[in-house]
Amino acid sequence: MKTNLLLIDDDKLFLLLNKKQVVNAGLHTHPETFLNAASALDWLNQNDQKDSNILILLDLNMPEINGWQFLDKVQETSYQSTIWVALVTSSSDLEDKERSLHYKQVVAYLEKPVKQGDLMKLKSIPALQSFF
Amino acid sequence: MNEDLLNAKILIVDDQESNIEVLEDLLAIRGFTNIITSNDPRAVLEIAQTQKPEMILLDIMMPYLSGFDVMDQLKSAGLLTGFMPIIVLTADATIETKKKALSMGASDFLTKPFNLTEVELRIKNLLLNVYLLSQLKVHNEMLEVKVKERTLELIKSNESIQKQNEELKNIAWIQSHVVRAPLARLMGLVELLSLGESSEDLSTEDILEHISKSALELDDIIKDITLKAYQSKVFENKTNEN
Repeated sequence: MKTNLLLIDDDKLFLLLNKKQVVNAGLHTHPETFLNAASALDWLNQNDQKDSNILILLDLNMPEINGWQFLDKVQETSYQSTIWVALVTSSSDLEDKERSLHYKQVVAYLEKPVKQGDLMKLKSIPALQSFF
Repeated sequence: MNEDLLNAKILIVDDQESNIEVLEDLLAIRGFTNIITSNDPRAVLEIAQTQKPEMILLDIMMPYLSGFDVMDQLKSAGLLTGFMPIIVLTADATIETKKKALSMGASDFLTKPFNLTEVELRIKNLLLNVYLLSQLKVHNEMLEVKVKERTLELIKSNESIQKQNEELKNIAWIQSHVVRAPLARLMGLVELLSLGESSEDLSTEDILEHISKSALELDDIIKDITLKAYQSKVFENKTNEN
């Protein structure tokens, strides 16, 4: 079983911080990082395969393709891989939380800055058991 | 008010000059000052339109056009509104004639030969009705204008409340999205520092520099919010002045 962890954020620094935290928390040893949603979609299209588990830490507020639009594209495409998404946002917006319930891929809602403790908690989410 | 009634313009229509004279004399005796007359029923519509009498005393039996025909014309022209009542003059006081005249829009009857007291009473009563009706109309119109003014004021104040609401929402959005971004970055960097994390791609100097940048960014945003709040207050004061 192949597992991949993708980090998507238009802010380079957050990308770097989140990568460190992900590695430190022991979620993944080599997370892939993307500065925009389009390049992440390209990666998904090229690396889609059966028996592949993908966890995505997705920033919502991004130019061009924002987090919601990325989620819509993922919903529309029938990937062979199993994809889970943890939303990462700087705003603790209740509307966003409610909206995220409409996407079956979304398993968590994290607030920036993502802390190691928050990432550890992902390990106990039942839906993610097959990822770890 | 009695003077108003006596100055009311009254049109007398009868093909018999002698009847007109009798009525004119009766009305003059009782102090009416504004009497116009016509012995040609075909001229009534035009007189009504141009001279706008406040009452018409209308004979029924006339050549060319009967009093009923004249009422028909007035009705078609939209003049039988109650603001120009018609008193039918007739020697024929049968129930049939009265019914027909009433159904066509007449307000009252005067039976020939005329009785001075009856003529005065019926005319004054009807004129009083018209006077009160006009008062009511004026009051209603004033009321309507006032309602329109108030509605306009309400719409205006509603608009200004909505605008302020937008400002507030805007500030709330900035608070939750724009302010949180550099703040979250700061918090993340501080945590990284406290964990003693540094590497080739992010040295301690880099981290400190990013902290400083984020702090400055945050400072700019807060200054901007202060300015917006000030502008909103100026706007509010202006709205209150208006």
